[in-house]
Amino acid sequence: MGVGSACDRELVAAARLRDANAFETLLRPLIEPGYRLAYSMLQRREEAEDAVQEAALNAWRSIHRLSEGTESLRPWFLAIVVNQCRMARRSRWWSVVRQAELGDRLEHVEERWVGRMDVVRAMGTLSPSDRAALWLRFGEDLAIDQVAQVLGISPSAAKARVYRAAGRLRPAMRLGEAQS
Amino acid sequence: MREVLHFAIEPPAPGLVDRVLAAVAERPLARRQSRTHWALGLAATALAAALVVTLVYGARTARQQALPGSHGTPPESAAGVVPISGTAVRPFFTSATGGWLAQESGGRTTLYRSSDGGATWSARLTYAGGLPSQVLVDANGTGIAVGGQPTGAAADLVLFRTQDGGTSWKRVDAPLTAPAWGIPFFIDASRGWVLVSLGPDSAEIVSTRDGGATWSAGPAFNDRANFPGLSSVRLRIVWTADGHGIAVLPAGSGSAAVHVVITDDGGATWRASFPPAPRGEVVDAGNAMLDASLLPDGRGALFLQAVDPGGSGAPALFAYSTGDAGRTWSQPVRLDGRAPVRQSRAVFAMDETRWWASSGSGDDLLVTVDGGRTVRRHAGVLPAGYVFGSLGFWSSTDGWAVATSGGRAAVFLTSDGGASWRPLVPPA
Repeated sequence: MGVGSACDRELVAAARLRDANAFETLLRPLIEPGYRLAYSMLQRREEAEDAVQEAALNAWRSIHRLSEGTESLRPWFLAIVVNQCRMARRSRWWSVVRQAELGDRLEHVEERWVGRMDVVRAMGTLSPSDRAALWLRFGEDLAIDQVAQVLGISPSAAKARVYRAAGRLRPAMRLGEAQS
Repeated sequence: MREVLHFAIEPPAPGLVDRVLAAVAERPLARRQSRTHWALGLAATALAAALVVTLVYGARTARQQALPGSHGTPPESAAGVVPISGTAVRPFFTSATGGWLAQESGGRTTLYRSSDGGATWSARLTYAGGLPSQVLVDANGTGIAVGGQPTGAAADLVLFRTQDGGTSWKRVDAPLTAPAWGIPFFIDASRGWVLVSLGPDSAEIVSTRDGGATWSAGPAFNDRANFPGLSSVRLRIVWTADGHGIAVLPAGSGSAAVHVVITDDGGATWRASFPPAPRGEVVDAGNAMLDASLLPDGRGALFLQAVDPGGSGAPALFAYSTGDAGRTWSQPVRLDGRAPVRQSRAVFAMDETRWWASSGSGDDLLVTVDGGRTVRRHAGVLPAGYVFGSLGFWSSTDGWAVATSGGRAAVFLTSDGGASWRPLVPPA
C-alpha cells in the first residue's frame, strides 16, 4: 500500500510535468470507473462514453494544475467526469423515442431480466446527482468524504444524498429480488 | 445493493479504454506535428534555396562539360506509390483540396482530414468499427460520418456528428434499443434514414432531418417476402429526398431472379423491381452482384455483374439507369464483356449517365458520360501490378481510386476523368 502510494505520487508528479506515459498509466484504470459513473448519471451508453472521453481530454489539458503532492488521480478525475456529465445533460440532444414501445421492446428482448427492470426504472426516477452519489458510495465503494469530494459538496450533504437515494430505490430492489 | 447497481449499468462498447487513451494520445501528437510542420517549413525553404543554387550551378556546369552519360538515374520508385499502413482505406474527397480519408486497422477506424489536397493529414475521429460508408460535411460545418459496424459485434448504430466542420465529432445516440441496425443512408449532412430490426418478423424505418440530433419513428413493416431475415438488416437502402428508396439485397437473397426492392412511401410498403435481363444472360440471385446509386431527385444507376453458367462462367458487367428511383429501369448497357473472373468490380455512378467501372481484368478503366452509348477504355493507367478496388468522383474529371497490389492498397487521384492517375501519400 505504502509502495503503491509512493509510485502513484511519482507518477502524478511526472504527469503534472506532461509525461504522457505517466498520465496514461494513471488514467487507464480510471476509465471504466469513470464510464460507470457517467452512465449512472446520463443513463445512455454513447453519452457516457463521450463524457468519459471528454473528461480524459480535459484531465490531460489541466493535469499541470493538479496540486503538488497529490497522491491519487481518482477523485480528481471522477470529479471531472461529474462536471462533464452535468455539461452533457445541459446540451443533451432531444431524441424521439416512443417510451411505451421502447419499454415493451426491452422486456421482449431481455426477458431474462424482466424481474429487475423495476430497479432500472427506479434508478431512472432519481436525479442524476443522486444516482452519482449512490453509485460512488455503493458501486465504487468510496467513503462518504470521497463521494463529497467528487461531487463537490460537503460530507454531510453527500451522506444525506446517498441515504435519500438508497431509500427511494429500496422498494424497487425488494420487488426485483422477489421476482428474480 | 452493489450487484443491483451494477446491473443497472450497461457495459461500454468494447475497446473503450483504448479508444479514450488513443483520443488523449492524439492531442499532444497534434501539437508536436504543428511544431514539426513549422520546422519542416523552415527546412523546406532552406532546401528550396539550396536546390535553386544547385540547379543554376549544375546547368552551367552541364553546359560547360556536356559529358555523355551524365543524365543521372531516376529514383528507384518512379511511381511514388505509398501503400496504406492499415488494412483498408476509403477516401471521401469533396474537392481538389479538401477531403477525408478513413483507414481501418485492427478493427478500429481513424478518419483523417486534409485541406491541401492530401499533402498533409490530421486525425479527427477514431472509433471501433469498419470503414465509414458516408462522410458528408456541408458548407455550414455540420456533418455526419456513417461508420461501419464492428465485425462480429451486435449490429449497432455507428454514427457520428460534427458541428464544426469535422474538427470534433460526437457519437450519435441510438434513438431506441434494438437487436440490429441497418446501414444509415444520408442524402446530405442532415437528412437520413436507417432500417431497424425489432425482431425476427418486424422492422421499422427511423429517419432524421437534423443529422441524428432527433429521430422520427417511421412506418413499421413486416415484409418477410421482400426482406428475408429481418433480424439481420445489414443491408444498404439508398433514398431520395421525397421518401423513395431502393434496397439492394445481398447476393443470394431469396430464389427469385435478380431484383431490387423499392418503396414509394417512405418505407411503409415495399415491392420487388426487376430490371430487364440482359439478352442471353442468366441472372439468378446466387450469381449476380448489384450496386445502386441514387441522387436525391431520383436519378440513379444500378450495376449488375451477370454470370452465364452455360458459358465460361466469366462475369460481364451491365448498367441500368433510372430517373424515377427505380420504378422503371433502362435497358441494360453492357460495359464490359466476359473477362477473367473477379470477385467484384469497382463501379461508381455520378448520376444516370456518368459512370466509371474497372474492367474485368481490373487494371483498365471504363468510362461513359452518355449513359453507355459510348464507352471509353483507359488501358494500363495504374502502376504495374495494381488493380482497381473502388472508385469515386466528385466531378466529371476529378476522382479517387483505391487500388491493390499483392494484398496492399494505395490511393490514387485523377484530374482528367480517369485517363491518368497519380499516387496519394496516405496518413502514416
